[in-house]
Amino acid sequence: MINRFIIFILFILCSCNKYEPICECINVPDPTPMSLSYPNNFPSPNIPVWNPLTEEGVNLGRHLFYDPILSSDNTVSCASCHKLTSAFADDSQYSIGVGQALGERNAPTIMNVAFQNVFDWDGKSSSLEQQAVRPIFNEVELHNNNWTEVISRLKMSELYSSLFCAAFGTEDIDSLHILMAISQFERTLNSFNSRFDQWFYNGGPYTPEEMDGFNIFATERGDCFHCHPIGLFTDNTFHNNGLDSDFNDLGRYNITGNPLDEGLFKSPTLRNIEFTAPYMHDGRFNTLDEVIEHYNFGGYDSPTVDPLMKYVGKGLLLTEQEKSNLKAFLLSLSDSSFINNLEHANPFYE
Amino acid sequence: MIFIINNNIKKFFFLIISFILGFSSCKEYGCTDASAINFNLNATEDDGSCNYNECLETDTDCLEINFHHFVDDLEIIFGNDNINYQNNAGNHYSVRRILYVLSEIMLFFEDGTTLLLDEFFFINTDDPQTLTKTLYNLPALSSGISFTLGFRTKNNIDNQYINVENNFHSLMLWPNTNGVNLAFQGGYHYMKLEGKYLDELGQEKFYNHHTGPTNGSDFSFYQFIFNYSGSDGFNGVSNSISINMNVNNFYNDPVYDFNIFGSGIMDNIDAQWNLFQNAGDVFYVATNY
Repeated sequence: MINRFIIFILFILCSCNKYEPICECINVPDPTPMSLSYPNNFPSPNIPVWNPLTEEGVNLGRHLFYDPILSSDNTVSCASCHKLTSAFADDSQYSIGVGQALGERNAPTIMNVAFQNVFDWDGKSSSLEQQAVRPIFNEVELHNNNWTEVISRLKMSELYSSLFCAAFGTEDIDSLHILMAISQFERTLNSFNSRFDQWFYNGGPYTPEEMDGFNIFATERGDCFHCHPIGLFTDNTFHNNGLDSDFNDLGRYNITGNPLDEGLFKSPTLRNIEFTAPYMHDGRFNTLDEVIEHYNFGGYDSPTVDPLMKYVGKGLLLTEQEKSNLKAFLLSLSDSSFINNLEHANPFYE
Repeated sequence: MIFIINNNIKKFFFLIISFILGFSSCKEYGCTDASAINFNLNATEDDGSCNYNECLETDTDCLEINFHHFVDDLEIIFGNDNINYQNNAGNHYSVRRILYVLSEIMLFFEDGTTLLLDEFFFINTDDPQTLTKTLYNLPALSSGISFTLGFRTKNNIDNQYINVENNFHSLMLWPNTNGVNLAFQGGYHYMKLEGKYLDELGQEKFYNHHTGPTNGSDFSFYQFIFNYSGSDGFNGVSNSISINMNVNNFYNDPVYDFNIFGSGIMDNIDAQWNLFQNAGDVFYVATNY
């Protein structure tokens, strides 16, 4: 009797509308392990032991990343604000969410995040899995109310049961596996094949202008390297770079409550900076020239401005040629192979 | 029969619900006490693993080291605008942060034996986690300590410490300019001491006293052994000490004038040499009990 009852229950579960049955996800092969390659000036990637990279997991994450099904009205995806052509940043000053709602900060790039351990402009997230939750429920982003509605949309899709089955050996879609898959995909978005890399590590061509720009960048002359050290070109920490004397956005302070953190934001990577405009946490600068001019001016003083901004009030006093060379160096950090990598592109357009 | 079926039905649903909840609630075990050094922000269940980074007064096989930072007798109040300190050159200055490396750390014991640690200490006043170090499984109570401020050349290798915790690599990297600028040949800073000072006109300026391998030179400073003082004033042993830095002694003899050396000194051999010469009396060690 009880056996018949169990069979009945399983029959009910297996006959749900469009949701593929749990009972079909059996005897699937183990997902294929995947490893990351990276240069020796990158730290080891932060990959939780409970969420190893697999080809199937990354593939599922890629679909979820590009699919507006994660938003409450099926209009906005992760990729709406993290665009491949913008090196996974947003070319809009403020990102547009569900119902045309505007965000309050410029969406940062999610490139090379596998090698970082603090995320968002204010560092509110300490893992990618933790970070991925926030936009799903943020009312100016994907604007869901709870996991139930997200999961029920995915369950109604004909696509995802097989993708979850291949990635995790289960069609029982749940929040944890959604976040694990998105994080896996994000950990594959890595860029380290710029003209700079080819020169620095392989002796490739580099112009005198680029070299002089690098010299300005990596020495006390311009002193850019302390916040953007060679390698990842971010120091993974927080600074007030003198954008304002008074703050509309308190940044890191909102997380720590430490007055010394007022107006501090995480240093963004400068890799692919050519593609990640507009710049700064609020996207106030549209061009690299404006950014260079800000630092050449020296920035505004305030109680928390970083001592590394040591030219506040007097300026760097770069010549026009030096500014041009610095820009040439920054442009040498572009990695066109990254933004043209079809493995990172929208799978629904393949 | 019906009773038996109902029980089995209950068990079945319990299993199903447990399975679903098991995936959706995602318990994570770890230390949930924010005051512990291994506090896990993501942990939902305490597993008893909290480590408080301290030796009990009766412990004889560990050593707790706390780091404190002074300007003469005053423990530093960190912040740009606290321009209340004064050095021998008459410079008024504040201290916003200090980051530094102590390497080649050697412990001395009463029986004459020594222990060279295979780790270095990274101290960052912005990061409270780095302000206490605890060494376990020592052979006895230690009676003295010596160390080097910074890395000697043989240990100051590009990308050598890229995976050291507390973001060490990113914060302390000394640029490698691939031959473009000989002052910057890679490796790591020894120290980053930063704040504001008043220039000759009384205007506020920032200073970055960053020491390291300028021009590939070795300005690391070997700090001769500190023997702990006991109840009789000398020959003590302890499992709790403070390594104290008196920042002002970096500027005393020879006199270091902020106005002469300017804001940034990474490529300034003279400034590096001056600070190196002053390093001898910057540190002192006190026992806590």
